[in-house]
Amino acid sequence: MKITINGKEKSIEEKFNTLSNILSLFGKDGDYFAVAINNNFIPKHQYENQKIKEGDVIEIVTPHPGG
Amino acid sequence: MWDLLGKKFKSRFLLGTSGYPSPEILKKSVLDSEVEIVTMSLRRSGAMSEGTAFWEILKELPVHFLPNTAGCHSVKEAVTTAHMAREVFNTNWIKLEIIGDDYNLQPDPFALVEGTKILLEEGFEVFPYMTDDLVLAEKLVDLGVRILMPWASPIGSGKGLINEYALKTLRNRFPDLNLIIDAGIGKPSEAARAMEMGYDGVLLNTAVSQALTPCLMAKAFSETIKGGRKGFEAGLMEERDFATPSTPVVGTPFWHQEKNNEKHSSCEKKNDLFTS
Repeated sequence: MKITINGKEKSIEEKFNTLSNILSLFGKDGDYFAVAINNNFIPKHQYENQKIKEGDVIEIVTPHPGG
Repeated sequence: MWDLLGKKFKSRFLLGTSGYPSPEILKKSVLDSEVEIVTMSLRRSGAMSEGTAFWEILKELPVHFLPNTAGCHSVKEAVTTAHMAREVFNTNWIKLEIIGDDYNLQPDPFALVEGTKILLEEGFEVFPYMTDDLVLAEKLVDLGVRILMPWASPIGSGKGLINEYALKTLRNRFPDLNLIIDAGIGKPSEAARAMEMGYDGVLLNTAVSQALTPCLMAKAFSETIKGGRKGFEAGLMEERDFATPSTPVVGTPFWHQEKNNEKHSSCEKKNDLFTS
């Protein structure tokens, strides 16, 4: 299935259909990050059970400089 | 000490972390200026190569993080960003920025009210980045905000306090609320001016990060903000439209003598007229 991660389209196998799997596959920068799917925040404790489906738009964010 | 939402701070200077020449210069700017609150954003992982390096340094500093929702253009985006920020930074503080105009980055007052309402109900301490509009401020206070962050002028403009009247009106209307100037300050003297007006703090970024020597500029702002606050606490004199000598007049040497001489001289002239 096709999903979008941080603005880039990715193809993943159906078996990797949880957010935990996605994060393992595509990596993350350390422990300080947060995730939203289709503009909805997903708390860390839900990663294991959070299903990913075709067309989902995933945003993975980390701390950056800001004013 | 400044009591901000139940926490005590020595510094009333809040510093943005964007646009510094290097993470090391940012670190030195924070330490040299003794700021205790810094703002951060959330961006896509790997979006900026320097992002991770900045965070690795900042997370070790003795500062409180004030995450922002910079770049958000809708209530939904801002609320989701706030949720993510709460988890990443482990704080319920959020500087709520919802941009309404891309030219001057003016915050959208209507979206700000809507977003503030949602986040307050969810237990956030909202620092609303706003224009200096009194009615907007009243709406936000009615919702329950404990802080207002009016702009001095548009973000990054360095134009300083473009509407002192509006800022004074806010100060007078909300004497017990924490009011923090956010954005538009270009010079240390402008930050001091805001503090002299009774503002509780100043948040700025570009004026420091874009200075030739950011660390020195950060220190300059730190000192003038302290000075401005002390000036406010000491009580500024009333402005007058006439001069008043600061040195006592009584006992001025020669003064009466010169005055008498002038009088004597003018009397002599009058007498001359009579006699001629």
